[in-house]
Amino acid sequence: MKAKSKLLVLVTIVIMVVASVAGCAKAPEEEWELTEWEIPVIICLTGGYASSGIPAHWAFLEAEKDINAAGGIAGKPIRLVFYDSATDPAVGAMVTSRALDRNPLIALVYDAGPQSLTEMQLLYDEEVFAIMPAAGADANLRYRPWNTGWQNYDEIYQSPADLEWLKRNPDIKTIVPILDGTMEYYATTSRARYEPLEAAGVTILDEVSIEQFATVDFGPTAVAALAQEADGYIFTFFGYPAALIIKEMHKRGFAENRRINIAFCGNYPELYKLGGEDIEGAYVASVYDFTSQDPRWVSIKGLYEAWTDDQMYWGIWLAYEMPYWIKHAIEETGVTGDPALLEKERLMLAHWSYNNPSYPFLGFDAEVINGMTISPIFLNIIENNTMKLVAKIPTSPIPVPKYEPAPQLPPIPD
Amino acid sequence: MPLAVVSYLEFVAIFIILGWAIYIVYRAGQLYMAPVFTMTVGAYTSAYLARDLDWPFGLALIAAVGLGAVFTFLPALGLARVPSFAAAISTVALIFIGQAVFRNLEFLGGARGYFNVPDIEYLLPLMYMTLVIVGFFIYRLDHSHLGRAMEAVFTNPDLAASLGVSTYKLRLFLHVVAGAMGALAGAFYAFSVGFVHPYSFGFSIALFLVVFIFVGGYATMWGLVIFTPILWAISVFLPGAIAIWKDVIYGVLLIAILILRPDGVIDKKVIRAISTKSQAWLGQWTILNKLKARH
Repeated sequence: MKAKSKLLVLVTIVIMVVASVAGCAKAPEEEWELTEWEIPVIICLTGGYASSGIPAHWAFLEAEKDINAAGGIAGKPIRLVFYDSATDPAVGAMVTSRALDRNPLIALVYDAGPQSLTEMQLLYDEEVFAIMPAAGADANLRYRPWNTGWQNYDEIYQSPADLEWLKRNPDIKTIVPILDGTMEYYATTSRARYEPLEAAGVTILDEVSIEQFATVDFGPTAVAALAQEADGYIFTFFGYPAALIIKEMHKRGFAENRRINIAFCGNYPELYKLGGEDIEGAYVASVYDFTSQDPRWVSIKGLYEAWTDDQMYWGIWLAYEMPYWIKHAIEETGVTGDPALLEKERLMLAHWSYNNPSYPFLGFDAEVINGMTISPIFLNIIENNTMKLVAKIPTSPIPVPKYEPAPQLPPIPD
Repeated sequence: MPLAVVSYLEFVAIFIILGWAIYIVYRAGQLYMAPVFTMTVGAYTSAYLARDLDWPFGLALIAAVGLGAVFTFLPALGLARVPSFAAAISTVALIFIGQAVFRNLEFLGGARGYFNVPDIEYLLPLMYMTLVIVGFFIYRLDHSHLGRAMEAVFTNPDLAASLGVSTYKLRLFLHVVAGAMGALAGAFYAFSVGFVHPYSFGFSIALFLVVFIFVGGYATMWGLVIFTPILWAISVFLPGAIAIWKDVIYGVLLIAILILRPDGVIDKKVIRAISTKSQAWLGQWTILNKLKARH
């Protein structure tokens, strides 16, 4: 290359560098005005958890549409910005960083599994409050006070439904837990149920653990469970393994579905699609009342069942409610969205979310104490391939000693 | 610097170190995925030492690297003898073994994972300093008699043996080095993300690396350096509507490269061409300066 050309290249590079640096000069300050509430949603739209994330995405968009149609939040529209974690911890960490760079007031995390914990760790480290109802009480507890998960401690959360099930089936004295021991949410949730059951006089037999995404044939699971000749069985994982295990149990002579307590895996549509007649009479616990006549619930249920032939399930309820939580939080705290007040307003929303005397969820009111939600638990029975409510059981804010004292948020600055 | 950029750069460094670990063993004719397994070992070791035993970061890092080397040495005694395909399958199995083992270690969180790994100030510059040091080591290895031996084993193991190269000992050495590098990458991961879970280090990372190595070019260390930032950016910076197709993009790229340019984009010819042109440019510049000085 000739000397002149090299010089030209060098000069061009220098000009580009200077222009870039000059371009970074601070713009003159403009008066700030809120145009919309930008709220990040970290969610799995691809990868293994997308089967839950995609319907939830639909529900988020419906909520956004409904809120904006009703005037938005404090008169300004809400805009949900979705960050796909791709069911991958590394991608989850990256997209959460991108969300944090937008200086959010609060974050919504609809995710479960290792990537959700990665995301929550980053939000916790940056002290951004998150509504994270899908990752389990254990995750909510470890990242307190910077999140709430809309559920109570596992020890309190599920046992009312379990005890109600036992009350209706007093001949159940021994139980085999069937769980996915490889997934943190299901492992801890299942094991938290044992102590209250034992206190009620039941003997917990050996766990039968599956790896729900890797198990191809559930026959051995059914054999292992039935071999213990228990009076009852409790399930804790996604919907489809429960359906297939129950089918396998039926093939081997098991008939009394009243002895089965499907717990929260009853909240997935695959259970009903795959289970069919084989799950009639089994019990299912839920965190909300399917039969509620709350107008918002009736509306979203109808829209969902028109959008897909799946039954309404827990994830849709959560995803639809989360933007409404933001709406209530912003309107009741008077947060303005002013970037100059970011730290203060983050804490205002965090305090409102972490301890709230009464929040109107779809179908019931609940109190939040130190991030744990005191809400009723619903026991249902499966009839005609759908849940039928049999009992609404209130839960009480009894602290669990091992989780006390609960961490507290920093005070709101003046 | 925006968090997303910091996070991106940290992951680029982690993937380059991990990619180099696989690269050096592949240069000796084996596709070896054990660095992903030792990534788990390194991540948990360093996290546990720093959080629960209050070890300083540097010591925790060194311990993690050492343990990674130890954990690869034992399987390497057998795996160094096997053909490439068997090494690939066996080391993928090691990844799953690692996940299962750590999932059942309750004192490390088990299936719940291990969280609140301490923050390290200046982690990013530390990672890049380490990257440069590791890169220098890889460069020297490539250009040493060991590098020539690796080349010979890759081309024709029998011929290499006839020239006095011990394939077994060479691969044993490389396995241990690769294991140590995997553990190093894992330790950096733990401190970057702050949370470790057995499923954080699984088949998806192994697949990312295969794409980065074979698209970038497996014949030199530079393919990873250039293509890891580009390919990782697809996952995280492209608009959502495109990013959801990343697995398709990676897959298509990999297949296309393997068919059209099996050595990868950056092969030895490209390196030689760049090197020759740079030297020519530098030579001309030097001559020009000398001429000016005379006049």
